[in-house]
Amino acid sequence: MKKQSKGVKDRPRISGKDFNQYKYFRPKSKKELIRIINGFQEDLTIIAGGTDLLVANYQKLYEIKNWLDLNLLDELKNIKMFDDKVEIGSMVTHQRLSKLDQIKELFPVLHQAAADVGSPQIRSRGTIGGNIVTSSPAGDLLPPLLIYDAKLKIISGEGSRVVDANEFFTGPKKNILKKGEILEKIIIPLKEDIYKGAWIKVGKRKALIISSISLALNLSMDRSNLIKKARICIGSAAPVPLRIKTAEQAILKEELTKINIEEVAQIVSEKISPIDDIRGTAKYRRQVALNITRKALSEVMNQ
Amino acid sequence: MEFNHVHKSKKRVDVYEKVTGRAKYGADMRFPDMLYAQTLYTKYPYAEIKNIDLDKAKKQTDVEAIITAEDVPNNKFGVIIENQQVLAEDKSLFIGDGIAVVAAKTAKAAARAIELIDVEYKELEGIYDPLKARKEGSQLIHEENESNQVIHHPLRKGNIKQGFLESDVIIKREYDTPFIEQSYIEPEAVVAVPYQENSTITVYGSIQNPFATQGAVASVLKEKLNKIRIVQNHMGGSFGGKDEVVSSMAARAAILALKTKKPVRLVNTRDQSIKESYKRHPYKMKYKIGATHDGQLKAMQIEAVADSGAYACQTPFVTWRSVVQATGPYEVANVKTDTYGFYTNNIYTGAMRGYGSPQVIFAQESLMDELAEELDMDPVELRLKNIYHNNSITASGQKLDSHQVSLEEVLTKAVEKSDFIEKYNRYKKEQTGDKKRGIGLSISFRGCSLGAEAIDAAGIILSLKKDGSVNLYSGLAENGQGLKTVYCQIAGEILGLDIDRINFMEVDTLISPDSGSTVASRATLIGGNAVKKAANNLKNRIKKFIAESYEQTEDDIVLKDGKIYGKKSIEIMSIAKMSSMAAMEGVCLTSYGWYVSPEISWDEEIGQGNPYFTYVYGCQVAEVEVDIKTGEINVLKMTAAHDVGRAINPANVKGQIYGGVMMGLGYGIMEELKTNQGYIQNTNFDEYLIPTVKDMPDIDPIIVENPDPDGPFGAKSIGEPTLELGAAAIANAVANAADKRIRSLPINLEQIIVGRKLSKGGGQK
Ligand SMILES: Cc1cc2nc3c(=O)[nH]c(=O)nc-3n(C[C@H](O)[C@H](O)[C@H](O)COP(=O)(O)OP(=O)(O)OC[C@H]3O[C@@H](n4cnc5c(N)ncnc54)[C@H](O)[C@@H]3O)c2cc1C
Repeated sequence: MKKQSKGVKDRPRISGKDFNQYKYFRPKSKKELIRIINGFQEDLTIIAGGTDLLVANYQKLYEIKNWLDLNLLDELKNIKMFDDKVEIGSMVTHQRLSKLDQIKELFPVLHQAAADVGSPQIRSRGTIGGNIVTSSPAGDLLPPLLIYDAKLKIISGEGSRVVDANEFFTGPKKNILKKGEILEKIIIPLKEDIYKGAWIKVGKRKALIISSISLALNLSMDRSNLIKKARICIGSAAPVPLRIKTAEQAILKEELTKINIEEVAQIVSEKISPIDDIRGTAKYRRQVALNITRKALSEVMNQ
Repeated sequence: MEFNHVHKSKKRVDVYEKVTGRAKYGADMRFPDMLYAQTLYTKYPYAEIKNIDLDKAKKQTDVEAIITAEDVPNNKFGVIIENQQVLAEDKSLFIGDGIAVVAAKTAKAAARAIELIDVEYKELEGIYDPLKARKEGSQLIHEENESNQVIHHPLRKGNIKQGFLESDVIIKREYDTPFIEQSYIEPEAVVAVPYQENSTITVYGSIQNPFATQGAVASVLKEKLNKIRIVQNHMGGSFGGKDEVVSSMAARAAILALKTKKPVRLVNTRDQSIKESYKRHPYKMKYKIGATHDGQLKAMQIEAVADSGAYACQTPFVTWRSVVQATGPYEVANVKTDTYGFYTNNIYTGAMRGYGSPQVIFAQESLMDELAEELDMDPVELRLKNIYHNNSITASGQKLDSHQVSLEEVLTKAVEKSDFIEKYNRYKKEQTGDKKRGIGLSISFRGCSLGAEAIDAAGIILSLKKDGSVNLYSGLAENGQGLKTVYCQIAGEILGLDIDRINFMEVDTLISPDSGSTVASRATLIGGNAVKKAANNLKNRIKKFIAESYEQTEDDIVLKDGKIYGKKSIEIMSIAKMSSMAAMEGVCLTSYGWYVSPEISWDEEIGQGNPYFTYVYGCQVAEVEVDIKTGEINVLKMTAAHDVGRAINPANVKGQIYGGVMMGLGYGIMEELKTNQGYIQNTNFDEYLIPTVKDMPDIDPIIVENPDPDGPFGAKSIGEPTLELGAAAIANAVANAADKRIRSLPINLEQIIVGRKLSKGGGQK
């Protein structure tokens, strides 16, 4: 999977000179990583692709003291397939998610969302882990992860824990991660069900754009073609990526073609709590939430 | 006519150095002992500056000097009205006003020192809406004035009352447009070097108009012009935007350089650039139009109010172009137009590609479609009934008889090529699905060059070397538009030399003839004529020398392919050989070409006269797809027909069309600098959105050529016309698609879905 162009490999490595008063760690294995976390007492700033971190610290990078760079941790770049789950390392880039056939087949919504992130440059540096830990309500991979019931494996000096992605986000750019904790991988369960899904991203231009609003939808059908499980998640319209559970409930055990689209759309539009910001007004978001829910449901009906 | 060098898509002469990275830009300049400067900006848009405490900042290591308004010999400058502060003196008037500038040995030290400057402000309540500033008795932004009005241009033609009486249909509409950032890729950069050779100060940098900057620096320093030298580096774009803001930076850097006796570099970040550099004027426009049932325009009444922001800058001229073009290219017997500019405490506004035309064209071309709808007529037919032809009389009373008026030609060509009529009718019908298609068009006439703004003249020096190569010194500057190549082609055509034998020297006020500013799409037209003159002067001297030395008659002598031919087209010798012989004989091989534009006139009281000596005509057609459920607009195709007189370099003309169409698209559907009580809310490109390559539609450029008697080889203008039409065409296409008329730019998703903007540029909260 590793393809590095010659140019990238030949680039001069960051030299210790640049960090004489502070530390720059680049562990090559998980073991080494844990050793660093355990052995180093001061603040450590974790860097993955850097596409959020460098922007957030524009012109004040010098304020960051000690760095922990995850880029040499090949273990975190793996995608592993099992019978009942897929594990995606936190250092997997959007580029890989949007190019891999297996991802496209198993998690088409995640695949499409990854392809909609930023631009080729951003996709080839930005990681799924960075997207999750940034925890922006507009993070494009978050609604897809929630509709696939993803779990997050978090490691630290003390051990590890696994949490539901749906429980990870606590507010805009806020999450449950504690100091010294690292997101190792994302675990997405696999079932033998038939999935039908949709992804809609609305933004003010066609590339390099933070979503004004987004929607991820996943329905799994049982043998008799009734909806067995429903997941609808809206991005950019609440402090966190928001699953609309009442709407999910409303269509359970329904026949796909008999869903009351209007009812679901109304619920979605009511449950979100959008704000006015530079990417859109609350009024716009509510109206469009309604519209894209209708659109996504009619799309899956025709799949 | 057969050409060898012009009318050809020659490769740009500056392409190699640009793609290899050899080209030096302002921020690349390095000098021994150079200091790094940084500006401290005001904290409040409108505030009294009670005290500035520099003590802590001065004590910082590596800090060499700090200046405030007190250190500026003459703190107010301006090309038209001198009221722009180099640094805020008693009050800051807008959020980008500078308070102090630090020069230090490192950029870091300068940044640190900036944070240590203590300023005591008294925040004042400002005015952020030009309509409020206009009210009688409102507080004065510039206390020396009687009102906040920067300028008022009236235009009166016929009898407006009578015109509306004769109309069967009258409609009234209001339109508005936002602040726009020029969005050059390279932020402003200057380096001031003290006492280089015989100049008091030399400024290098990303300077659009070296002579304007020379004037500003001289006036600020109270120094003679011949002691101030400005050297233009390669430009990473400008679009009208690197004039006053760069002059102000040049002056600040110059003062610091003289104070420290060291070179001083002042380079903006993107945030600083967006915060301190002037913008395109937001306009609020009221249009009233009257026509007969069969579509004859009878009367037009227009009021356009521009927000000038804190300073006058280019407002008097920008609004003047608006008054000339506000009715569009239509014959209307009765016109009453008033354009105004008012001071506010918003960011100041100035030149940007288009210069007062995109705003009024958006309004007037939207209005024409609205009128067509009212009359139940198709928009092409209504336009064809009223457009200018040869000998038409414009709103300002000018008879268009000096050149081919090609409006009908550009309109017809664009309409046919885009299949407009068929699509317009098809899209007008009910469309199924969420995505609706639409097509729309707009047309314009545009005065070439400065017009009655100022004397319009330019000079060129050509110096033929002993080996037959040539140095070309121009006062007009390459700003990325391709000027160097075009000038080399014109000189090459006349001298019979390949363009790689001609070296266009960077503009340097030490040598280059002062030719005014590189603005108003004037460089090919005015400067091109000067190149022609200089080359002809040189050619005549060569002919005379050859005729005398080789018993030829001057009329028989031809310069072509680097050679000189005589009677019966017999080759006499190469130009290279001739050059060395002529030099030995003492023939002057340096020539000067000076071109002054034909006469123009303007009566400021009634807005009548011949404001420009020639015009260009254009038509753009936009085809869009509107998702009525999300508001997303997909511009599918733009067809752009432009009469350029003659395309000196067709590839370059197309380049201008592609770029201008994209900027027009940005103006139409996404660009908007948002302000709130004078604060700018989107100070970087993450939130100030310009189109990406993914937003680029299919663009079909149609070059129309009707050589102009006053243009060099018939050439006129292309830079600005390409940008002024897009937003209006897109607005009309959206109306065709979604049956929704949006009269406020940008036509973004919000407006399609909820019909209003997030915040109005310049408006109150
Ligand atoms: C121009 C541009 C366009 C963009 N467009 C989009 C877009 O369309 N959609 C979108 O969703 N995002 C977009 N982004 C945001 C960004 O690219 C993504 O969020 C990306 O996934 C972040 O990943 P990264 O690896 O670059 O994170 P980094 O910047 O390296 O890290 C982000 C944060 O996460 C922490 N972190 C990273 N990895 C871990 C880990 N394994 N464990 C613990 N903490 C960790 C870091 O400490 C930091 O706080 C854009 C960004 C830019 C600059």
